Formats: sequence, C-alpha cells, structure tokens
Amino acid sequence: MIPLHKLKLGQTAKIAKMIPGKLSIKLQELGCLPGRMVKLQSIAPLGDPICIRVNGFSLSLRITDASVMQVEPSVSPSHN
Amino acid sequence: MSTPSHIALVGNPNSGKTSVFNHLTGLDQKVGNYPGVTVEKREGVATDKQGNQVNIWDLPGTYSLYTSSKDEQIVLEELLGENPPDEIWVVVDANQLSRGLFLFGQVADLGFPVRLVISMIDVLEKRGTLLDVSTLEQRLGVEISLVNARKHKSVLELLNNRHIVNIEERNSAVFDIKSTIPEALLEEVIALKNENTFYKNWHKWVLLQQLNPIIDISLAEKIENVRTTENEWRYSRIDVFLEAAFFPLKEAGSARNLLDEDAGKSEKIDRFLTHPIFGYGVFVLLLLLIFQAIFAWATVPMDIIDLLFSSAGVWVEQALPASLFTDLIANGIIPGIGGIVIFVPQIALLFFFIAILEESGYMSRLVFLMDRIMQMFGLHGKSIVPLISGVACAIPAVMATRTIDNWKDRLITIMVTPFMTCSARLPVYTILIALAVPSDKVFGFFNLQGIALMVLYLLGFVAALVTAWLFNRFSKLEGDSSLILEMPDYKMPRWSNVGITIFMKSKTFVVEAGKVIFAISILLWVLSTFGPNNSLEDAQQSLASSQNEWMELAEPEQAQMIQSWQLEHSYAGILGKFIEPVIKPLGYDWKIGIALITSFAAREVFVGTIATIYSVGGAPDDERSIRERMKQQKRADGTPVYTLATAVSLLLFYAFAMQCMSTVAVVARETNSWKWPTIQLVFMTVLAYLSAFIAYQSLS
Repeated sequence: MIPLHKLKLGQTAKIAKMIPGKLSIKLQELGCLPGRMVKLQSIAPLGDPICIRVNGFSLSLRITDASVMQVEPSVSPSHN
Repeated sequence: MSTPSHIALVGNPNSGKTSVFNHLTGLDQKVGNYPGVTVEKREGVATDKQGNQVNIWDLPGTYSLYTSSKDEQIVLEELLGENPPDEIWVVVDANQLSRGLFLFGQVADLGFPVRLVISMIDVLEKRGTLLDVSTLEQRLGVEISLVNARKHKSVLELLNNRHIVNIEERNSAVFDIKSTIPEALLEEVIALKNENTFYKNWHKWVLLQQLNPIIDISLAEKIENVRTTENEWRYSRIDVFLEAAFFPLKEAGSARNLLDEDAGKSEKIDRFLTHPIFGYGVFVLLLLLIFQAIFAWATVPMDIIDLLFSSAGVWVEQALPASLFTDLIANGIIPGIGGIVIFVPQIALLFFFIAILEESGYMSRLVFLMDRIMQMFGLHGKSIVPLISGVACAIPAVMATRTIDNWKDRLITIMVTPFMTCSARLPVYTILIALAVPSDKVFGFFNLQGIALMVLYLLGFVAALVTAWLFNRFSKLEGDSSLILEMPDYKMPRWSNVGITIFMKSKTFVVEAGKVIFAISILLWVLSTFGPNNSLEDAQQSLASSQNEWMELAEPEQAQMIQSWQLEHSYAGILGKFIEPVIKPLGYDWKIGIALITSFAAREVFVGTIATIYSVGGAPDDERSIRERMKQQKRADGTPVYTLATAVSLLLFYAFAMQCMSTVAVVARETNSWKWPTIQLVFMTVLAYLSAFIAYQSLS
C-alpha cells in the first residue's frame, strides 16, 4: 500500500484506504472510495499538483492533499 | 400540478446547469449577492407556453450538500431557509452520472418535489453511447428529462413537461439517516422543528453546528462517521443503478462502464497543454493575445465612445444657455459617465476571453499549471484569473476572486490584485513615457518607449507577487488551503453562455464602478469649479492687472487663461497648494498636486486635469499639445518641471498608488469590512510615496 502520489505516471491502482479527515470525506463524496480504481493521469511540470482519473472524471490534487489516499498498485502496469 | 413560482437549480459545477438557467431566463436574469458571503446570487424569470412566469434560482455548483466553506453553505441555506423553493431541479451531466446521482440522492432525500434533468446527452452520443432512460427511471423511481443544452427547445420543454416527483412517490429507498446517527446526537436532531423528512432535520442540525465558532472535535468526528456511512451506502447503490444504464449506439458493441474509461481526446490535448514547455508557451501566447485585444482591438470602439461623449459635452455647452448647471452637465456629468463607458470595450473583450477559457475547460488546466508557482507567493492556483483580469480593470478582477475557496488565499489575492497595471493607468503612462523616454530603437527593432511600458507592467506584476509573499509570511491567518479541482473534458464553448456572461459582467462593472466614479466626478467638478474667490470677474480682474498684453489676446486664448486661473483658485487648487510641501520632495509642484488630487478618484482623470491646468485648448485629450505644454513648464528657479526625474517619480507613483475609489469600494464589499481596504490603501500609498521619493532624489 502506497500513497497515491507515489504511483508512476500512467499507472492504475485500487484505493485501499482513505485516511480519515475533512479532505478525505470530500474526496469520498466525489467517488474516491476503497475498492475503486484510480489512474495517475498526469503530473504538473513542477511536480505538483497531480491529476488522477477516478469515478469517470479527471481530478487535480496537490500532493499534500493526495496523501490521504492509500492505494494498491495494479499488478500489471497499463500501457497507454 | 399547479405552476410553481420558485424553482431552484442545483447541480455539480460544469454540469450544464448554468446553460439550462441561461436558456430558461435569457437576459432576464440578475446577479447579486447573498448577504454576508460573496458567492454570486443568480436569479431569473422564465415563461412557459401558457405565459406563466416562474422564478428560477441558479444556486452555486456543488458536489455535496455537506460543505466546508461558508460560500458552499449557501446552497443548503437557501434550501432550508425561510424562502425555500417550490421545486428543485437537479441537473446532472450524462457523462458524470455517478457523481451527479450522489448529489441527486441527497437533494431528493430532503423531501422537496424534485426533478432529475440529465444534460449533455449529445456528448454522450458522440462517445457512441446512449442512455437507457427507461431502465434508469425504473431503478431511480423518478421520471428523467433529457436536455441537450445546444438545443434551446429541449431546455424550454422542461417548463412544459412537468416530471416532478414527491418523496412519497419515490420507489427507490431513501437513505436511512435515523439509524446511522449515533444515539447521543439523535435527541438534538429531533429537538429541532420537525421537517417533512428526517434527513432535512439532520442537515439543518449539521448547518447549525457549523455556524458555531467553537469547533468540537469529537462532534466533528461523529458527523464524519455518519457521512462516511452515507457515502458508502449511496455509491454502492449508484453502482447498481449504473450497471445497465448505458447501451452502445452501434449494434456491434457491448454495454460499457463509462466509469472505467479514460479521458480520451481530452487527455491527448492535455499532454500538449500541460506540457512543461508547450503548456507555458501556450499560456504566454494567450496572454499576448489578450493584451493585443485589450490594447489594440479595443481602441477602435474606445475612440468612438470618446468622440461621442466629447461631442455630447460640446453640444450641450452650445445648446444650453451658459450657466453653472450647463457646466455641470457638460463638464461634470457627461465626462463622468463617459469615463465609465469608455472602459466597457476592454472589459467586454477580457470577459470574452475568460468566458471562452472557462467554457472550454481550459481554465482548470491553467490553474493546474500555475498552482505550484502561485503557492510560492502565498497565492492559490485560482489566483491567476484575477491577476490576469486586473490588466483590464481591478474591479471585475477582485470580484473574480470569489472562485477561491480558502479565505486566506482569497484575501491575499484581493489585496495584491490592484498592483496589476490596469488600463486606467495607460493614458498616464503614455504621456509620461513620451515626455521622459526618447523614441529610439534598441537593437534596431524594439522601441525604447515600448520597452519602458513593458517594464512598468512587469513592475506591477512583481509588486503583486512580492506583496503577496510578505502578506503570507507575516499573516497570522490559518492556512487550510487545498486544491481539489475537477478537470472537465474539453468542450466547444457555448456561445450563448459566453454572450450572456459578457453582457452580465459588463453590466455589473458599469453599475458598480459607475456609481462611485459618477459620484466622485460630480464632487471633483464641484471642487475644481468653486472656490472662495474664483468667479469670472475675479479672474478677469486679476489677469488683466497681471498679464501685460491681456487686452491684445484673442478671445479663445483669454478663455483658456481664465479657465486655468479659476482652477488654480478653486478648492482643488487650494488643496493642491496645501499639499505642495509634502509632494515637493517627489519633484511635484502644486499644479501636479491638483492632478494628483483629482486623479485620486480615478487615475485616467489625470490627463484631463493636466490639460486644464496648463490651459491646453482644443480637444482636451490631444496628447501632443498637452505634451508640448508640459515640456514648457518651468519652476520658480527656471528649471523645467518635467525632467526625467519628475517623470519617473510620477510613473512610479501611479504604478503603486491605489488611485481608484471604485476598487476601494469593491474590496470593502468583497471582504465584508473596511479594515482590509484601509490597510491596502495605506500600504499602497506609502509604497508609492517612498518609491517616487527615492526615484526623484536619486535621479535629480
């Protein structure tokens, strides 16, 4: 289990745990729930924020915010 | 079912809700403020086939009824307040059904008559998918209305086909909030006045807790637990709903789960637009384009407006008998209104670009690119929009800070935006640069004067960033900033939305700035017309005795000198002389002092005032003649007034000083206090004074 922002670009993962907190709830309401798939879609030129694909849409997060999402990377990396 | 009088539109941001609102109300809408917060309040009137009128409220876009900021609370406050809607229409993007149905579920459980409106059906079809409406209707227990916001008629049909569902009729289960709330809280929630659903009671209670300034951590945790349970319950049911919600457009395809799909085209475009080099490159090109529009394209309509208003002033002076009242209209009211209207082309063009960037979805990419940089200066990625807007005018720019959720981020952005070089500074810069900087070419291509102008723009931008950094460093405000930003799929802008935005924003500018500038123009007219002893007779007497060939001078020349003398002895002139000792170290004399005073209200007034002081006849904005006169001005000791030192000093003063009463008024409104605009005014004035002082003393 690793924090979301440690994923490699283009890698998919399954959300394993959402660390409780105000931010976490907000993300859950958007559909970031344990068991769902996420994909690291892009990283901003300066390394922060990152953009993920989740629940059918693209979402930008700062890395500090993204750390509340703990994910389990997919076994086979997806090719894009 | 009887026609409702009051409908509220609720939905996610980017769901097409505003398009629906615009289609229903057209220009019959007004934008105002909710008391105490700065989120825009949009209301309008729609008319159905039978001619019945309906009030429609476009509530701010939200992802959930639970809120974290005061501004997001508005949706719930409006729904639970004293003036609740008769019906709620929840607008959901067909391509974002999962998120949309989450909000729909919450709203529907409140117990209002609700309606589900699914928009952007056309986008779904382009992806080769159709919505299985009947299955979805069965599972949700509501009738669904489909709209394609590009087809005006499909939206109007909403008024004529009433697909409203009351909570008693809903087949699908309502979230059992009662058994989720811990015992300890249950009593408190029940104690509130009983609403028609327990869920509504619950939200009312939660709202009350948030209004409590003391944060009880254990209470917050309990509420969070309830929300977590609710989230899981809702989304697991939504998963079931969506399992068979779609079917393929073409025969040979399988039902897809859109949730697992990639962004497709948008992702490819993003690879270019958020690229480290191309991304910022496109941004710079965009800025150049906006600059070009504001300063080149806008001059045509601006010149026309200028001509119209000066002709009107002249016409009034000739048509009406010479009197104080005529003078008030011709030289006070008409230029006052003209001074506001002349900025409309620039404002309109700026909002044209901003609306396109918003509608297309690009704006979120810009925020994505700029967030890290903005954070280094204590700002937020979203601050980039107000900063860019400030190049046209600080007034709409400050209002644009409403999109920034975090109060500290927003406050800092508001405080530094007026440093951006607004278009009102341009007439002042132009004339002073022409005086001080030779129009030579450097490297055979770059005009020295053009470079000087660019330097001034850069100066404003740097001042904004540095001030933001200082503010952030020394501020005791809590930083709870975060960036959670949806990046919608790219779409072609909807031109009707763009048009309505331009119209509404320009109207807001004219009314907001207009009120203040108009009042100040009248005040200035009074100050510069009246004085203790500055009547026409006084002028003629004094000039006749002091000027050698007074009687030989032609009428128009005499008139100019009289005008100048009267200004000198007016209240404005007396004030100018009064402040002279203070401004002398900056290289200014009392004549410049008058111009400083008059342009305190609005910078662009500087040029007109200078023209009057130096008795420049003809069209008061004839730059060349003003410039010639300025060059000729001499001090008591014979040295010229407008040396390089004076010009640079003046330029710096105008770069940093907050000479815009309208901005002060808007900042007061947006920060809900007079504390912040006062701090801003003092800070900027001190900075302007010091830099002008240093410049003058070191250059002379």
